[in-house]
Amino acid sequence: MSLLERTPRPSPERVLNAKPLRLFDAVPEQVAPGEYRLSVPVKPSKWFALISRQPGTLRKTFALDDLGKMVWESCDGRTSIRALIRQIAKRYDLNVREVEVATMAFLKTLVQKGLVGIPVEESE
Amino acid sequence: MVVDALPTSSPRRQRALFAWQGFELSIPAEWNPVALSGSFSAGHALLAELGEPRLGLRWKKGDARRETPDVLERIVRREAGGTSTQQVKHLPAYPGACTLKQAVVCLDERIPGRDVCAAWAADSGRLVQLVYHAPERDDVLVDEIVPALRETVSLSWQRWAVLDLTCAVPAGFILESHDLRAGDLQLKWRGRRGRIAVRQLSLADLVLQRTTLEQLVRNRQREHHLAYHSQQPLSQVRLLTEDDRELLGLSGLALRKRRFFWRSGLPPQRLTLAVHDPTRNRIVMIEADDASLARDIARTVGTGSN
Repeated sequence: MSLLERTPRPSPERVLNAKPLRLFDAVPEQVAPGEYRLSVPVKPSKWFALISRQPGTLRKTFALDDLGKMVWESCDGRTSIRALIRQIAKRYDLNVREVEVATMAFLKTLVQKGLVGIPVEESE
Repeated sequence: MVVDALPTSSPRRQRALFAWQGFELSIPAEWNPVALSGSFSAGHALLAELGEPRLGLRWKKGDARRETPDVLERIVRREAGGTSTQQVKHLPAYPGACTLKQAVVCLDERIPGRDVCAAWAADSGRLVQLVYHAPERDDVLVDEIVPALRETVSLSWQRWAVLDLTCAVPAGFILESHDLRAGDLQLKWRGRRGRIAVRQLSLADLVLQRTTLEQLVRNRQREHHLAYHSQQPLSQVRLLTEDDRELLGLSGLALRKRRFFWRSGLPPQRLTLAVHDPTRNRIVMIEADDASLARDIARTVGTGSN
């Protein structure tokens, strides 16, 4: 593939069939009813480690609510996004479209933070 | 997984109501609007099922002199694209709720196919076009969608149902804006009797962990603080909905500041209502110029959605 060639965006169908996988084996800890903390190790960048004088790993903490915890636990590499959306909609009696939008946005955040990977199957 | 094994389209699935700009339609619960645009005179709604388009609904003000089946036939042929795998049919008048007349359909024999229907809405005279994306060869458009499409413009209260939000407002109010975010759905109308805003937050349990009903009312009133004085304190509200659900909450009144007496567009008072619906686990907020109107609308929120 040449450098100028664009990577094609996966279709919505393929994204919904993808099975997100968490990149850290961390368990959310409950700090209050409906409030959880997820602590994951992060490796500081070279410059940050030099300035902060912390060459080892740091820990980054994320706050989750019940829905966030459910999504995190469902990122096991076996549950597809489509199944996850239907599970949430059924469990909380929510509209599927609303759950779809919220879940996709949340998964995007998790991917951007480097917590979750979404392997999308190659198109035929 | 079991959930994945569900069929993508089945006529026996749970139904939901979609009501928009004077149209009411019973659709499978998993079909949801992904695009809504336009006004009462002309507009478009696209319903999809988890990213896959299922039904397109388009309407525009028609010309009474052109209300002939030939015009509709030309419209469906143009919309369908005119291939050899299509057949055009003139549908009979449906008895009962359907308010479409002279419906013409163009059915696509291919799989997946694209069926098109055009008809005149009997009450408003609008031209209605329906485009059904058929994943398999079925008669969903002719047997389920067209007979169930109903116009409500002649009723004194018009129902609106989109995503998880259903409510009714008096006829004559025009939709001014819609803001449909996941978990936060809002519709605003304006009419001769003032303005109405309906907002629904879900899930109420999660919302109430972070804020209170009082804060919600105060935040809403703060949006108009330049022209209105908020009255202290908030009063308790208890309402019974049309289907006997009990709503408990708070209401706050804001009075127009005296220096804005000349602004006829600003009503003298605004009532903001925030109620908790524990049965549905939702929070409903209503804003209206008239206290009794706000309570009447609150009683209709969440009723008759399925």
